[in-house]
Amino acid sequence: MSVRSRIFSAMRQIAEEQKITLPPLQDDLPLPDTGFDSLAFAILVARLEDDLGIDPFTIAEEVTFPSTVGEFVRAYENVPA
Amino acid sequence: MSSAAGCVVPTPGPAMGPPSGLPRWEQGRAARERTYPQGQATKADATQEATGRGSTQRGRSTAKTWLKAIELTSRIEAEPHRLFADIVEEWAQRQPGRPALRSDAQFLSYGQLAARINRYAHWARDLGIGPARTVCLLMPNRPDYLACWLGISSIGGTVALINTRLVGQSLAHCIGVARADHVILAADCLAAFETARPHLDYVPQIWILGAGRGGADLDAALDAADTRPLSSPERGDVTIDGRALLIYTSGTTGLPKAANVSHRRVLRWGGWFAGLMDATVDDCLYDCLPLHHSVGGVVAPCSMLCAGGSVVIAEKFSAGKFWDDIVRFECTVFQYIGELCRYLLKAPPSDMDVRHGLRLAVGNGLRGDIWEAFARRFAIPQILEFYAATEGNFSLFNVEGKPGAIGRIPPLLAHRFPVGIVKVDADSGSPVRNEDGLCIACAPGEVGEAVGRIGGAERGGGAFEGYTDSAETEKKIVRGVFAEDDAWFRTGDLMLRDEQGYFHFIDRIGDSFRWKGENISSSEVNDAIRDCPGVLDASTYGVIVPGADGRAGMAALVVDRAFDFAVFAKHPSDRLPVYALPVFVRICRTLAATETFKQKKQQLISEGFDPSVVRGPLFLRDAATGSYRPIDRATYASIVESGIHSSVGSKSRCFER
Repeated sequence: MSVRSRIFSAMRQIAEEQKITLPPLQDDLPLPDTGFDSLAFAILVARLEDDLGIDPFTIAEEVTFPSTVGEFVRAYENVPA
Repeated sequence: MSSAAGCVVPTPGPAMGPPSGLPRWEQGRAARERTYPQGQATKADATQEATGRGSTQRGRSTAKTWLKAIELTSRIEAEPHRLFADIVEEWAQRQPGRPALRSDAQFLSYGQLAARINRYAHWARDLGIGPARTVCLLMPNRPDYLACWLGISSIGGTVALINTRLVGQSLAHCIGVARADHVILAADCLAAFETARPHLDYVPQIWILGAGRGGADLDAALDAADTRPLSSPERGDVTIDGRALLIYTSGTTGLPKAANVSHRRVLRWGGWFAGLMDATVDDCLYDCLPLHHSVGGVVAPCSMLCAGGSVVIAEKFSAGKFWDDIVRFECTVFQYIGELCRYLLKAPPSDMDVRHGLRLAVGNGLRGDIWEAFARRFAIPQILEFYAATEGNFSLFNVEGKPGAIGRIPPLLAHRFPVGIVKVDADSGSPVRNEDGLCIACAPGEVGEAVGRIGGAERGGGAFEGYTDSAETEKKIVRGVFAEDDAWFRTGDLMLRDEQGYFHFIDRIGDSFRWKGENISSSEVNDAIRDCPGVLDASTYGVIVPGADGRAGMAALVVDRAFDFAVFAKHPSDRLPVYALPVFVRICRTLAATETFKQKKQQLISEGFDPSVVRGPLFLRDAATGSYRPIDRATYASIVESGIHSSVGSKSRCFER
């Protein structure tokens, strides 16, 4: 499974657990429009760390959080596991 | 999340409990003895432990550390009637016999603490205390302090936490701005209260704890009060929006300001720190900071009570007793301020240094120059440095333990707590504006004032709850920062952000400075000094002392023949707490002022207390006797060489005030 599909799968699962209605996931979807709050994102980042073995936001030199789903995925794709 | 106490999320799996069945402190000790068989920490081991990147102790990652803190605080909004006293009650149901609060003189299990909280609540309710009513609390550090404010605030009353070291006008001011109906006085605080009484507009009803005259007997009233939890109708409609506390901050100009602290913020502070500290029922935190401050009084105890852990409340910090206490009470965590670490590091090495079972030191103000030496010598496995202000609308946490940094906002919370650093004018202390009238963000590495955008709960920024004085509240808000219609909270703190996004504390802006962990308002000190016979004019400011955090107070005086140092040494001490008394005094012919009569202090500040630079007589306050004696080159050299304590009393006396 690609990094992208693992991220999307994790997001769908968390949305279900947290009772968040997730719009169709596509690259240009702004992250705030996912309906994810801070808790949902924190769960996502922690789960992806277990799943993919990386947390790009802890080791990042720059601190800006991605603004779209596509940027979020790229943050994971660009870090060697 | 479904646990009875409901505050802590149990971690399933092997991390849940000590595999050996030992309490955590025993585990910590066993682990330490394995690592350092001779009781000697190796430099590399301890430093690596306390400065690890990307993961915290026990292998918990940064991402999971944040997740736990966010989980613990995410329920707060969903249950607006659940206050901090309810968390204690839930733990009391679940583990009534386990320790909650301990000191040398008092032990309160969770069951006893909950009962005591309920007594205060019933007593307050019977008196008609509720929303819009305030009770001032003057009590030295002790377990009952927590029971008092948790109980009274649970039925809607506000408790004003008054600094027990204040006297006279300053104390009267703090009681006055609270508009209190009642004052609770521990017998130890009666004498201080009497110095304030003549300055009060009106005298609230006085309640005394312990043997003393001059008020009603609160001990007897509490003994007669019920210990059962109040029913919902008895408690009334008290929600997290309500004000729980007034906590005083020293203003950059003038007397202390009373900051509003809602139940929401009490719960958030407790939850954030319980999560970031990974607190559990086996933890015991050592708290020797003043309980009338937000860190010592709310953050430290509530982090543990949120998780079912315990808190040791020391009356005050003592370098001589510190490690004995840590070992004796089997503490796993201690709450520091940077100055405290500095005192501990200055003490001669001892066997006690690494005999403790501490797993974590949490606090603020541990500066980069001593961070690693401190972690290494005392073998502290993890350091959690943070930045927060009582009335502030954001906090920074250095979860990764990067030496010298005060923390950063994790990227996934950046939208929720926007923090900026803006350029300020060095002379006026005001933000610099560009041609569009907006503020200018500092580049990485550039020093400016830290500001936090003011917004609602989940969006746009943190709430700023302000002070009792709305004019003071407005002064802390700067508008049109990065957009015409935005509003940001001014911290008054100079910081820089490094390339990795970590913030570093530089200094306070302008008129206030920090000494021995207290913010000192130079104008308040100056007003007291100017009233002294023989003083024609005065300017008060802070000067850097090598090897000490913050700045030591210095007063430049213009005097006439009536001036007498013996009188001067005594005069301001009737109005100011000891830590605010000027450490240095210099005598000047005149004092420079701007055209708007603001004092020009920069020259004075830069000259410091060096007798080869300062023209005119120069003096140092002896902490032991309170008298001032001249500074010659030898005294100056001694201070520069080995710090101010070598010249002024002992270390512990200096700190214990």
